[in-house]
Amino acid sequence: MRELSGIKRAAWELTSRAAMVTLLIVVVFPFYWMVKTSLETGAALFSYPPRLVPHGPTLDGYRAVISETPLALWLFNSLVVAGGSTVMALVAGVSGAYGLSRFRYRGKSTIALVILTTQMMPPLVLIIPIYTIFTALNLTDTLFGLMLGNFAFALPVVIWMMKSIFDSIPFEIEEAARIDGASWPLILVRITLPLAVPGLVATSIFTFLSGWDEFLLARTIVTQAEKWVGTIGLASFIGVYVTPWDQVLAAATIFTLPPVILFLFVQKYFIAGLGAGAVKA
Amino acid sequence: MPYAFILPSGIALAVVFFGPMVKAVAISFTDGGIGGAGQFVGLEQYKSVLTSRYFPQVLRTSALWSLGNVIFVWGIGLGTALLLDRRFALRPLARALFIIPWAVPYVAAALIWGWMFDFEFGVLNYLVQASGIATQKLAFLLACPGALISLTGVSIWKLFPLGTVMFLAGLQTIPREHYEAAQVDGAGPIQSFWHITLPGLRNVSIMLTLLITIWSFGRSFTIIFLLTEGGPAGCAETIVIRSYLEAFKFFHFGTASALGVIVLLISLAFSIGYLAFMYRKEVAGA
Repeated sequence: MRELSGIKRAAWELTSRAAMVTLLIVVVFPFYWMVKTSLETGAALFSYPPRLVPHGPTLDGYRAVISETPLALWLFNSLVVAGGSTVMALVAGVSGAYGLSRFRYRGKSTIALVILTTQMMPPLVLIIPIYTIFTALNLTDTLFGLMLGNFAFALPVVIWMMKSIFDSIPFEIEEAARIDGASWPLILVRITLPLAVPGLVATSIFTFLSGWDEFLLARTIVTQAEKWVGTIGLASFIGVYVTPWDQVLAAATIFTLPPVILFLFVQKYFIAGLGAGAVKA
Repeated sequence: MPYAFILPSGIALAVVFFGPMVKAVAISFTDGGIGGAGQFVGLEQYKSVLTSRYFPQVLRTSALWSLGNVIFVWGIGLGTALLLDRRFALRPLARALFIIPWAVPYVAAALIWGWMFDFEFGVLNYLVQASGIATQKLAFLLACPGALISLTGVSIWKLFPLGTVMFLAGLQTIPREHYEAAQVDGAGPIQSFWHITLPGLRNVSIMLTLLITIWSFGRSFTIIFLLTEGGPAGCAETIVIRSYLEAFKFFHFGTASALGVIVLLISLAFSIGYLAFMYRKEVAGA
């Protein structure tokens, strides 16, 4: 009987390992295929059947796309927009989340509903009025306008995540500091935030990525080519009569690497931080 | 003091969400010139949208799209979380790899999959034939309903890591003792899963399901727009895509806004109904 359950357990173990490896291959394959195609020579791209490993890997695609398109400028613009909106969203969102987490005020129960409601408003429909507001304020075709938009779009999620993280940090230490005469902003910066670092890192990555990845707003309010961000530049490759896939995917690889690398560096924090938000919500 | 903390966020949310939403509702009552300077027409836009021939179809497409996303993000998220929750060598590596799609930008995902779906040179058609799944090439994005299914697949690939992460966190909150107690009582792995794991993940499940539903229903745009623009023959056209085309292809801002308001109302009704139902069941179960 005991032996049987041993065999059973080994079979179970084997099945779950096999399932995991299969799933991993499926999940990672598109990523691999992007990098592989970007290293291919132009001619080898259109060989059929396709080769599963690059045929004489070359950086020609990268050279071509960097020298022939303003990819570097697009990436720089993306960095400015995503970085700027992240900083703004963290400053406003952390303060807002702290206020919501630590103080009593009227209508506390409606806050969750308000934040949830923002997630139900189709961004597209908001963008039509935002476009007219931005036109009036001369913010169309500016990176600052994009930054503002991304900041506000990310804000509800930042508040949501940071509030649940603050909720999980005991209030007693702060109350003691308060009795010792420290002001609330000082308490937030010196005591609470250092305890919330994993959540803060997760939230920053989340915000940065949504700014880096934003397409619809950028497409709507930016027309001048020198204000294009990465998403718009990359999307402009679609629909070209003969797509030079090695170059397109070289650009896609370059555009994908910063968020992926960022994510890999902090993934431990990320899982802890985002997870905390999810469970507490 | 508390209000000083909340004020900046409150202003930002009012300026970018609630103000524009009110404005969008106002535009939806007009015949919709550029910038919302149209004539007031009352509920005309809603009447013409709701009686149009395209509306039932885009609603159905949006519903199928959301349903597909929710089911698979939930299922694959839970499956991967359970696999990753076990201790094994290389677990951090496996965890990182599973979450990579989440960090791949949507536009890049659209390019990658567009190339893999390519009818003539795409690797998927090669794999499908080489593995014997199909004898002929598949049209993926070029035919109905294959296009909607393929696009849903891309979306799931991008979104499931959110499920993985949320379920992984949820699994950490279930006390080990519960499993040990169940084992003492003679429960097998399937019974433990059914009576301990699933109930323990209830809150995470409810949140995940709600978020994925309202996001897929009202926000999904980039993948569909870049890969097929809602085609072929409109069979992957969701309400959001339709709303975009109305606004920025036909410049019918009134119609586009009415569609958006309808999306918001449906999402609100769904969320309230869903949460009320879950809450009621919880009370009855307790």
